[in-house]
Order: sequence, then structure tokens, then C-alpha cells
Amino acid sequence: MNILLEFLKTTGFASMTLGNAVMILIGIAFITLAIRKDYEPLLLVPIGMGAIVGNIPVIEGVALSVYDDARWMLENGEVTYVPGSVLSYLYFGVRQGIYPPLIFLGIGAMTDFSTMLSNPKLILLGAAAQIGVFLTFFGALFMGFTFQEAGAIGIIGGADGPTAIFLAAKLAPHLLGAIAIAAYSYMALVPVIQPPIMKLLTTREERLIRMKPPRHVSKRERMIFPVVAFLITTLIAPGAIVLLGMLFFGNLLKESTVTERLAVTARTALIDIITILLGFSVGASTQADTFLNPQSLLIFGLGALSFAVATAGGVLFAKFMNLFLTDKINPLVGAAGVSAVPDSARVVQMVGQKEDPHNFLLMHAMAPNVAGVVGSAVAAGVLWSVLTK
Amino acid sequence: MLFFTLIGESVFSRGLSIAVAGMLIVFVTLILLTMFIAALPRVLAVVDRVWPEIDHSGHHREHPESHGDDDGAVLAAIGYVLHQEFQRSASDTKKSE
Repeated sequence: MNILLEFLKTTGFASMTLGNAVMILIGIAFITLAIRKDYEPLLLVPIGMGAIVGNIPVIEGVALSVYDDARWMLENGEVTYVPGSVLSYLYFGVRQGIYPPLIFLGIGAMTDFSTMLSNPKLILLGAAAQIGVFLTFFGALFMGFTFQEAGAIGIIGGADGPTAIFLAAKLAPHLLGAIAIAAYSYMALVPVIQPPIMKLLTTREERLIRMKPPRHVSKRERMIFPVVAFLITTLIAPGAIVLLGMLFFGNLLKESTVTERLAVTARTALIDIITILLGFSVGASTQADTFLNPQSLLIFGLGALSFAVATAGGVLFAKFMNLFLTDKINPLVGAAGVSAVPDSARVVQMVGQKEDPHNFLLMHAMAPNVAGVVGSAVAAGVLWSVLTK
Repeated sequence: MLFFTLIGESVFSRGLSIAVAGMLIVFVTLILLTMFIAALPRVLAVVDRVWPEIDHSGHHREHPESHGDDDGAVLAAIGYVLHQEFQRSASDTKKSE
């Protein structure tokens, strides 16, 4: 009987807290949203399941949690090595910023920069949307966050999960869970957050603007682009070397036409494996005692603000550019500058087609969308190099 | 009070300068990228005169004499002729019976 009672004390039921239960419910909500609403299922299912796994109370003294790292211990004059938990080894790739560049490799290998190359002025929309990053950084400072924390929070507005994780791991590792969850949640909620802002800031006439079809881009242009683009971006912002290096390397694998096998692996098996590991271990890091606090709520609030400002920045800048252009840009396309690839481009297409079912904006929206990826990586590089201690 | 005001100001001014400088750097980087992409076709037009683009795709899986666009039409024509021939031979066999 005593053994049974002792065992019951070690079960999850005995040490389950209200916070754990809430986080498990959040995990279930993520999985439900992914399955029922198709909101970023590739991310929300691993994160949701990870949140459930990470919030089962662990047995005291047994290395099970994400935060149970390997360590050296001095006991009775002897130094012994205590291995970490399995989850802590999976989380190592998040904490050290290893997974995000590998995701970027896959993104590079699957991204076609042709639309951007055919209409380079649309790149500026990807730059304008980064205003969300820097305004939120500024706002976070006034809410009492340190410079490093504010930088990590601001990058949520880049709407790029891997970039947010990378920068948070470097600048504010203690906020990593909240920032990653906020970034991915808002990426999943792009179809909900963006359309009202896009409609609010544009007139019907503007939403009806049809853009010229993109020109043909030669193979040589596509091959030269990743190398020169890497040189330009990283010579200015060396902090972005890892992210942009992998992004453009992946793209070179795709465009060189002689490394098709590597490109296929990068954009299929590799990115899938890393997405599973990243999503699951980030989810598992959201343990109630570290995640459920007022700071996380503030981060969520600032993240939403950042996302909204970024969307507005892109749309308003497109309108500003139209003052000088003869071939007008449909301002909806500016909303794709937030870089949630390809969701925000799809939202542009959806909102545009509601006004004119024969207006196809997807191709045009992909240009600021991929420029936004580059822009947010540059912004992350700048913040990292300026704010690193 | 003065101490907090000074701290606030220093956070404000440093934060503002980082935000403005950061935004400026992102814009300059992407403007340079835009200029490079805009200039690339013109540069390549000049390069093409000296070093024309050769299709190195020796990895074509199709037959070298294959004309991708025409293949479907050729196959349809062959299929049509074969079908006609089979129909004719079938009707000849019926007549002979």
C-alpha cells in the first residue's frame, strides 16, 4: 500500500499545477486550430504537442525537462558528469541558434526570387514593413524591457519565426519560449490580423489596381543573384551572415541546376526534420512556471502591435511609392512585406480577389514577401550587432 | 526624480537612435539590392555580347531531338494513324469473313 501511495506521489496528477493545465489546454488549442482551421499546421501541431509534453510535471531528480541540461557536479570531492534530458539535447539547437539557419537553407532552396528580380522596386516594400520591428523595439523599451529584450521582442514584427528564435536565443534566451510562440502564433494568424488593416488603409480603387505582368528572368540572373545579394547584405550587416548565408546558399543550390539533389534534400527532408525538432522543442520549452507570467502577456501584446505596424508600414509605403510611379503598385501588395512566406502573399491575393476576382496579385506579392525575409534577417543582424553585450 | 528623468532620456535617446539607424541600414541595404537587380539585365546584356549564355543543361532527360512542345502533337498524330489502321484492318477482316 505504501509503495502504491509513494508511486501516486510521483505521478503527474499529484504535482500538476493550474499553470500546467492551462498550458496543456493551450497546446490542445494549437493542435485544434491547425487541424480545424488549417492555421500553419506544420508549425502549430509540433508546437502544440511540445507544449503538452513540456507541461507534464516531471519527477523530482529525474532529468526529463527541456531545462535539465548536462552538467558537471562536485560531490564528495569528486567531479561527476550528469547527462541532460533528451529534450534538453533537442532544445540545444534552439538555444544555440542552430535550427533557424538550417530552416533558412531550406527556405532558400524552395524560394523562387524571379518575381523579385523582375520588379526590383517591390523590394522596398519588404524594407518598409521592417518599421514594425524598430517601432516595437522602441515601444518595448518604454515598457521596462532591457535593450536586449526589446530587440528580441521587436523582431516578432519581422513575422519570421526562425529569425525571431535566432535573435531571441542570442539576445534574450530567457524570453525565447514566449517570443517563439508569439512569432509563430501571429504567423498562423496572418489571415486574421492582416485583412482588416489592409482594408482600413486602402480605398476600393487602390485595391482594384492591376499590375503589369512580371518580365522573364534569365537563368544567369537567377544564378548571380544569391551570390551578389549575399555580399551586399552581409557586408553592410555582418550580423546576418549566418541566416542570409544559409538562405542564399540554399537558393544557389536550387538555381545552379547542378546540385539539384542537394536542393531537393534541403527543401524537403532537411527542412521537415528541422521544423519537427524546432517546433516540438520550442513547444516543450513553454513550461508553465517559466512561460505563464505577465512578461509573456506583454510580449504577446507587443508582438501583435509589431505585426500590425509592419503590415501598415508596407501598405502605406506602397501608397507613398505610387505618388511617384507611372505603373502603379496595388498597395495591398505592401502587406506582404512582413515576410510570413507565403501566407501574407496569399492573403494579398485573397483580399485583392474579393474586389476583383480576375486580379492576380499572388506573383507580385511574392516579391515583397521574399524581400521581407531578407529585410527581417538584416534587421536581426543589425539588432544583434548593436545590442550584443 | 532628476536621476530617473536622466535615465529615461538616455534610454529614449539611445533607443531612438538604434531604431532610426536600424531602419536606415535596412533601407540602404535593400535599396542597394534593388539597384543591383535593376542594373543586372543591362550588365548581362553587355556580358552576353562577349560571353553568350550557353544552355549547359546537358542533363535533359528528353531525347536530344525531342521538341518538348511538339511531342504531344506528334504522339497524338501517331495514335490517330494507328487507330485508323486498326479500324481498317478490323473492317477488312470482317469483310473477308
